[in-house]
Amino acid sequence: MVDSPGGPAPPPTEATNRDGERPAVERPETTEEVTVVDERTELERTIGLTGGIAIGVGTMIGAGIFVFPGIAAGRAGPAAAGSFAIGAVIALLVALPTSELATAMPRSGGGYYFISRGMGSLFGAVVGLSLWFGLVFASAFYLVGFGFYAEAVLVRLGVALGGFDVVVPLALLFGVFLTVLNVTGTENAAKLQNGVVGVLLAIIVAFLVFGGLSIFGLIGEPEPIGESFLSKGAFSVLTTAALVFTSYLGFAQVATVAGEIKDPGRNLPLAMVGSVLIVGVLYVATIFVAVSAFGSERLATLGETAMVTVAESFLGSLGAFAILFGGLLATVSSANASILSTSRAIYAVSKDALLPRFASRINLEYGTPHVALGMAGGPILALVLLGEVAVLAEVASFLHLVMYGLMCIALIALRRDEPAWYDPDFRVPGYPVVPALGALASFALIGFMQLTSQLIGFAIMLLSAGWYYYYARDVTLRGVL
Amino acid sequence: MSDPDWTVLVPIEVLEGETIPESVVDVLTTLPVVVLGYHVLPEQTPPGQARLQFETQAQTKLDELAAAFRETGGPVETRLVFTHDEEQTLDRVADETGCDAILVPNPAPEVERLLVPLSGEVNGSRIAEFVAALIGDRDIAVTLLHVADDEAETSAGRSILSDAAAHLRDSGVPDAAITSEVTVSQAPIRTIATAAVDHHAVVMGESEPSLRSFLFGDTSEQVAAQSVGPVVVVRRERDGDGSGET
Repeated sequence: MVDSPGGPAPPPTEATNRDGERPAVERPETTEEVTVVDERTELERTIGLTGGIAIGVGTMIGAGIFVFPGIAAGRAGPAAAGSFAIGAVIALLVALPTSELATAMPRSGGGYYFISRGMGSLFGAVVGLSLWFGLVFASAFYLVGFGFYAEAVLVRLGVALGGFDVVVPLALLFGVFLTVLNVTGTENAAKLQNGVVGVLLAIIVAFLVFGGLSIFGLIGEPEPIGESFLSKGAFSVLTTAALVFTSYLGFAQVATVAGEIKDPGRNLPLAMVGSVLIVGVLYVATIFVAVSAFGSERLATLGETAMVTVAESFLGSLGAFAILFGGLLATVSSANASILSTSRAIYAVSKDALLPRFASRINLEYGTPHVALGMAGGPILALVLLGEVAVLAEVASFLHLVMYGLMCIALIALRRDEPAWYDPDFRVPGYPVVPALGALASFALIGFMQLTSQLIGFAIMLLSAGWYYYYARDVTLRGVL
Repeated sequence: MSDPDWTVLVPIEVLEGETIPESVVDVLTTLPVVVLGYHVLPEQTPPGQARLQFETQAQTKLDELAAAFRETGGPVETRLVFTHDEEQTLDRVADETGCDAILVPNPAPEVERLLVPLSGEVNGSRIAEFVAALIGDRDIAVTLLHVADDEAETSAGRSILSDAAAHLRDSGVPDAAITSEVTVSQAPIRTIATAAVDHHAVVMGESEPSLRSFLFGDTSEQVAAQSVGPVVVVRRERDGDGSGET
C-alpha cells in the first residue's frame, strides 16, 4: 500500500466540522498482524479466521433460525425456505464485493469506510449514520426475540405471569444489562463467543438430523402434510425474503472489525463469504425441516418461538429445552454483537469528524468506549419499547441494504478509475456482473418491504443527509486514507 | 563470540503508570534495548480508537522512559502498540526487532550479584553468552544454580554448570566471579526464588514454546514476584530470521 509522499494528500485545513474537528488521518500501513499508523504507532491485529467467522455467524444465527421460521412460514407458506435462499443469494452477491473492498481497505468502519472513501463524504455520512441506526434497529430486534424466548422459558417453568406481556420488559432488562456489561466488562469474551457459536451450530445440526429422520418417517409419528409449495403465491416469497433478510446482516459486521483481523487479505473474504454460506445452508434446511414437519399454517400460529414446539415433536422435552436454550443464547449473542458493532460504527464516523469526536471517548477506568455504547444502548431501548418484530427487522434490513447497494456501486466506481492506493488482495469474480447484480438486488429487495418500514428507513437517511449538511459539509473523505 | 547483539526487550504498560527503576536501567547499560510501550484494551475498544485518545500521552511517556536508557549510552529503539492481546504483541515485537531476551522489571538497589538458574532444558551456552554480554567489563558476581530432582541427578547438574562456567570464562568473565551451586529440591521454583533474594537480578532461560507461559505463567510469576530484583528472560533460539543474525 502506498502511503509515502505519492499517497493521498491530507485533507485541506479548512475542511472541519462545526466543532472545528478534522478527520483523524492515519496513513495506515497494513501487515499480517499489525497496522502501523503515521509510521509510528502500531495497532495489533488479533482476530483470526475462527474469530471472524464467529462474529459473522454469531451475529446472524439468532434471527434466521430461532425467531423467523414461524413468521416466515405464515407469510410465504412452504416456500419460506425459498425466501431464505433468495436472501442467501443476495447476501453472497454483496459479500463478494464487500470482501474485495475490505481487503483493499482493511480498517474499522466496514461499509461506511468503503463508501466514504470510494464515493465521498455525503454518501459516507448517509451510510455511516444510517448504519448506526440500522444496527440499533437490528439490536432491538434481537432483544425482542430474546424477550420471546425468555417468556417461553418462564411459561414452561410454570411461572405465573398473571396475564402480563413480559416480552418487552425482559428485552429491556437485558438490553440494559448488555450495555452496562459492555461498558464495565473487561473480561475477554471473544473465546466465549467462539464457544457460543459452536454450541449453537451443534444444537442446530442435531435439530436437522432428528428433524430429517422424523420427516422421512424413521422416528416419531409424522403427520402427512399436503401443501403446495407456493401456497401463498410468488409475491409473498419476495416480501418474506425482504423481511427475513435481517438474518443475513452479520457478514458486514465482520467488515466493521476489518482493522483488527489478522492477515486480512486472506481472512476477511473467507470469514464473510464463509459465514454467509454456513448460515444460508442452515437456514434453508431448518425452514424446510420445520415446514415439512408441521405445515406452514400450524407453524405460523406458533409465532416467534415456533421452533421450540417443532423440536419438542422430534425429541420431546429434551428437544424443547435445547431450542429454548439455543434461542436464548443465539438472540443474546446476536444482540451483543450488534451492540458492539454499533459502537464501532459510531467510532468510525466520529473519527472522520462526521459526529463530534466526543462520541469516540474512551472511559479511563475500564478502557471502554462508554459514549458510543451509550449512543447505541439508549436508542436500542427506546426501540425495544416498540416491540414490533417485523418493523424492527425490516428497517434494520432497509438501512443495511442501502449500504450494501452503495458498496457494490463504490466498488464499480473504484474499479473504473483505479486510484493508486487501490490494491485489493481479493478481487471479486465475475466483475462487473456480480457487483452490478448485488446493487440491483439490494435496492430491489427494499421495494418488497412494508410501507411503514420504507418510510422510517427513508426518514433516517434524510435526517442523516440533513445532519451532514448542517454539521460536516466541508469534510472531505473521498480517497482520504 | 559476540555473534548475536543480545538486544533486550523492555515491555512497559505505558499508560498503567509502569516505570523502569533506575537500577534496572543500570543492569542493561551494556546492551541495546527496545523499549516497548503497549496498552492492552478490552475487546469492545478498537485499538485505533484508543490511539486517537491516548497516543500523545503514551508517546510522551515512552520517550521519557527511552531517554533514561539513552543517557546511559546503549542504543535504544522504541515501539508503541495498542493491542487486545499482550502475548501476541510481545512475541511479535520481540521477533521483529530480533530481541534475544525480555526484561521483567523489578526495582533493584544495585547490581553486584546475578543469579542464573539453569535446568537441563534450556540452552546453557546461549544463556552464558548473554550473561557475559550483560556483565561486560563490570564487576558483577554470577551464581550458577541447578536444582536437581534427587541426589542421582546432581552429577548431571554439575556438568551443566561447569559447561556454562567454561562459556562464561571464555567470554571474559573472571573465574573468581563465578560460583556454581547444585541443590536438591522437589520445588525448583521456590528454591530459585529463595536464592534470588540474595541476588540483585535473575537471568533465566525461556523454557516453554510460548513466551507468555514463561512470563506470566507460574514459573516466572513466582520467581519475579518473590525475587526483589528484575528478571531477564533469555528467549529460545528462533527458527529462521527471528533471533537476529547468527
